[in-house]
Amino acid sequence: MMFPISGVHLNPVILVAVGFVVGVCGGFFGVGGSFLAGPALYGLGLPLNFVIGTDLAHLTGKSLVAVRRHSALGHVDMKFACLMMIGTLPGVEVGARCIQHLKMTGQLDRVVGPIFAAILGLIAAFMTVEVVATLRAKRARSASSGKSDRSAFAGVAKRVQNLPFPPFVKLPRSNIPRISLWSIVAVSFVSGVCSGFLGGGAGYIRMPSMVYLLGIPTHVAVGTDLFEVIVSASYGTFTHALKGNVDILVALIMHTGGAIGAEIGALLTQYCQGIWIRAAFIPLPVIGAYILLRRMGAG
Amino acid sequence: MTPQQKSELRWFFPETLIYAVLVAAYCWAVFHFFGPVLRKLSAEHRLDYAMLALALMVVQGFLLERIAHAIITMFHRDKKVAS
Repeated sequence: MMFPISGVHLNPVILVAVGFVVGVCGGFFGVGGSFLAGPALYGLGLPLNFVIGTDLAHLTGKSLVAVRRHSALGHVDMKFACLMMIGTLPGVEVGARCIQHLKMTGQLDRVVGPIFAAILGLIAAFMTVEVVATLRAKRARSASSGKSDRSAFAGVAKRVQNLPFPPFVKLPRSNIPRISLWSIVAVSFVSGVCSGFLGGGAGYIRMPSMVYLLGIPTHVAVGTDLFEVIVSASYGTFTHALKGNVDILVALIMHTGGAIGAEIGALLTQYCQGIWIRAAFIPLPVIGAYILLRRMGAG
Repeated sequence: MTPQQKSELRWFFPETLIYAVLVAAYCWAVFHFFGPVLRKLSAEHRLDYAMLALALMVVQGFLLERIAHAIITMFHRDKKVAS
């Protein structure tokens, strides 16, 4: 099938299938999924500039569907999402400026690739340790209570919540009675820097940070992270469309599968305990690191 | 599984099916009726194209989902009244 905007021939069935897989992952894990969709679109033959812009357009639609479903399930903390924006937006700008600086000094490939792969590897390793420790503790208690969302590293989040730096905010939907605004801004700023520095929505960093550092329940972290993806992907779609990097027809066809996948992924979270969502999340950063290292190896 | 979850799951699949049909029809309509217009806009009027691209995505992601939900809610209500 010929796509007149990007001028390439692509198989629409494969586009729908890619959209579906990314949609399920996005709806279930609360990530944008650009680390899966990007290489897939590039592999199908879409030029790289269109890969970036079109992927963002598709993410916007898919995240809208998933957030709607998560919101109906009570998994979106709007107050927390708005507070996260305070740190995310400047963070993205700082990350993008770091990239510009490295580009000018010619250090981009040598610095970004290994840092990204190391961060992804560390996240996967940390989450594996946490999931194993939590499962062991759970077995020792030998009592699981429905949708309970305990973490073996809950102490870290407790310490962060007790930091004595005013102003403080209350997040009733996330079951947090009091937390310093600065903690939220710091976490969102760092994830924003990663997003601007490494590209994509950085959900693979933001989602675990929300759970382990701020103590947000996993289900709420998934839904709220998707809300952040809507904002950043909408902005990205608009700015890339202005630069001629978006083939909206490819994005719409991908979204045919993505919308259904996102609905299914979001619904599945309702039937999974937080610990299992975190356990299933572990391969994602590993896949991302593998794709990156392969691309670096290819030159 | 709670009774509420069971009920949600029962209505989820028909709603998703209706949504899938609406999304596919919308995609086909945009491709056939607006394809040439979008191509022209992307080449000559980037600002219009950017706004239209975002609007098309929002309609597909949000509006069609609301329509599917409204259809299934209407059907659900009719069934309740009939029984």
